[in-house]
Amino acid sequence: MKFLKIDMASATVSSTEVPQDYVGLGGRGLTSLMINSEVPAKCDPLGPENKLIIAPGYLSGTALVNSSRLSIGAKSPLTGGIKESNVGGTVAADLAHLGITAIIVEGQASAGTCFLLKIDANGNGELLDGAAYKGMRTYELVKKLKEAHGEKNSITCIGPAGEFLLTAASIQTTDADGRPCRAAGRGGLGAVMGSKGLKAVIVAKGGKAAAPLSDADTFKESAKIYAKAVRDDAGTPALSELGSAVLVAPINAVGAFPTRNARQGQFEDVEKITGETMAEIIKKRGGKNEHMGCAQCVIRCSNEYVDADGNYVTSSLEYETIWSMGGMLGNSDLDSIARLDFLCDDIGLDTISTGVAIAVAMDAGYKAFGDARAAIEMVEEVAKGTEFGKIIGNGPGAVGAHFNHERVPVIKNQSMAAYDPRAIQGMAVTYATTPMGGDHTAGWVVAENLEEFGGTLDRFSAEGQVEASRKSQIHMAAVDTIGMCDFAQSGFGAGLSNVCKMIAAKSGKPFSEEDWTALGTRILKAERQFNRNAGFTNKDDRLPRMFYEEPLPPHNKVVVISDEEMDKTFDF
Amino acid sequence: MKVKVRLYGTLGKKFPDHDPLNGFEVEIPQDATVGDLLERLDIAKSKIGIVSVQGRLAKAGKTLKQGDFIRIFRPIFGG
Repeated sequence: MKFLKIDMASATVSSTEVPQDYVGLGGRGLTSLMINSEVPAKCDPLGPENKLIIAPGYLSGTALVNSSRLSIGAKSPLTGGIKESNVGGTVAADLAHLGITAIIVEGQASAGTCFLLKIDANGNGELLDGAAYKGMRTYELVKKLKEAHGEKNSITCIGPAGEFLLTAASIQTTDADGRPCRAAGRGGLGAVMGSKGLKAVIVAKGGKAAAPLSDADTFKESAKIYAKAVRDDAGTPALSELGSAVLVAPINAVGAFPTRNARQGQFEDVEKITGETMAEIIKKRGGKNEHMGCAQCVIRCSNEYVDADGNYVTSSLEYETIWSMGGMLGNSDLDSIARLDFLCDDIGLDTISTGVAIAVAMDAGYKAFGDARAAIEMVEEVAKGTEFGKIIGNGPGAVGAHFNHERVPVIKNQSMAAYDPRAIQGMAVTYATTPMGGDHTAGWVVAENLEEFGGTLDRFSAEGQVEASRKSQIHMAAVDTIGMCDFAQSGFGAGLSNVCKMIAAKSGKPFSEEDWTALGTRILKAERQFNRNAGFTNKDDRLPRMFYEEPLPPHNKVVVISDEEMDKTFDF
Repeated sequence: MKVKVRLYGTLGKKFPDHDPLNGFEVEIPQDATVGDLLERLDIAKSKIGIVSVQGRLAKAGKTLKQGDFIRIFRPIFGG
């Protein structure tokens, strides 16, 4: 197993054995520990001292289901702190199959130059001139790169937004069908990639050099148990048929669906954009539900959305995008939401940050809520590189500053996601305290907060929320280290010990449940340390005033987690 | 008395007359509770996430009225 080091200034690639300190790590564990150790916390995120680290999970490349998750780490130009951005598709499995533990992109190409990184079937890397691809949108880019390099590659790339160094720029990667529709969206890492002069990474599929497993038989047995737990889970069929959009109706029902820049918690037209409605439309028009977007997936939560004539619009239309371009904008037109999803993938923008940026513009009176055409025009302006397009592409914080508008739902300058913290207090803790900024997957405590049937916490009370968020954040840091898909966490239903067995069976070293918690804790400590060194204090672990002062209809609550309690989240 | 029920996610699949977008009508005794309705529909407890009556979340003990609109959601997980 090896590291590929890419020196952009000299345009050279070298390969080293994985240093002892990083053996046994992958994904977010690897990227966060490396960024904390090797990147000066006060550096310019768009300068030569930042590093872009691309790492498959520790269990990526094995036969374990749903294990093709990639972590991309760097100092974020959006938050000014550490960032791990996570994405599926096939590239994590592809890299692991080539025996590559991480790609470390360092330095900066000379001004005006643009490169492609090609990794061939032997796992050797080479920088190629990318001038011909400068400025290309991702769908066109992928088409051209396939013509030049063949079909049997995954492509991980930036669009114009990353080349313009915009802080809501994503890194896109190809799904199982070869479309650049999977996004490492959060944190502006597309801008970091752009600042280094790297346009795309082409990775050969079908490698046979995955790390050997220390105990292949034990691994196989545990992997089977894990896969069965995912397949048998009551949630899997719903995810399969309706996608992550299955969340629209229930989150709206509990009044936690931020609507019109989080002025309300319920959208009166939600029925037009639920997962149920989307699935029916897709079925009727001949699109695809139960689509496999990522390697080795047994859930198939992806979809292919088509227009009224049956033509492809986008894949996969997710809960977060239906929220950010739908409810958050007061927009109930699913066709325009799908179009906005495609535009963001094509231009290389985070759909969450971009939707919220548009929401702030609408809230400031720039355009009316519900004006889908205006939303589409704003996103197209980003690609055109206009002054206002750059503001939108820099996210909601930039839009708020431009209009001098107070209601900007960002934490550490990264926008909130599709759960209002006033209606689910546990999410207030996660948004405020995760080192990642406004991030929902970092510590998703939504289910535990629905007391009515099943959850143990009162979602309007502070009680138990800090503990729940802390536990979830620690757990997720470890999940992100092994490269497991969030939706396949149902596999943990067969026991954490079963997962620990797989880690031990690969590494050849003992790995207990205590080690799992210690791993997550270690990662969070490193991330917190980086942020402190970058200048963050506990004042940055707070939500914007609107969440403490504006009661959210229909339940009319505010965030009730005190500053003191927030500060107890990382009491380790 | 008759109430209208809409089952979300894949909960409605086992009922042939359940319209995925509009739900169906269910006949239940006067003064039946949400819990009674769930038993009547024979939906396993583990499959139920939340229930709302007339748009507000409801617990099992809530008494239903003629014409109530009940939505039943499955447990949720995700991102």
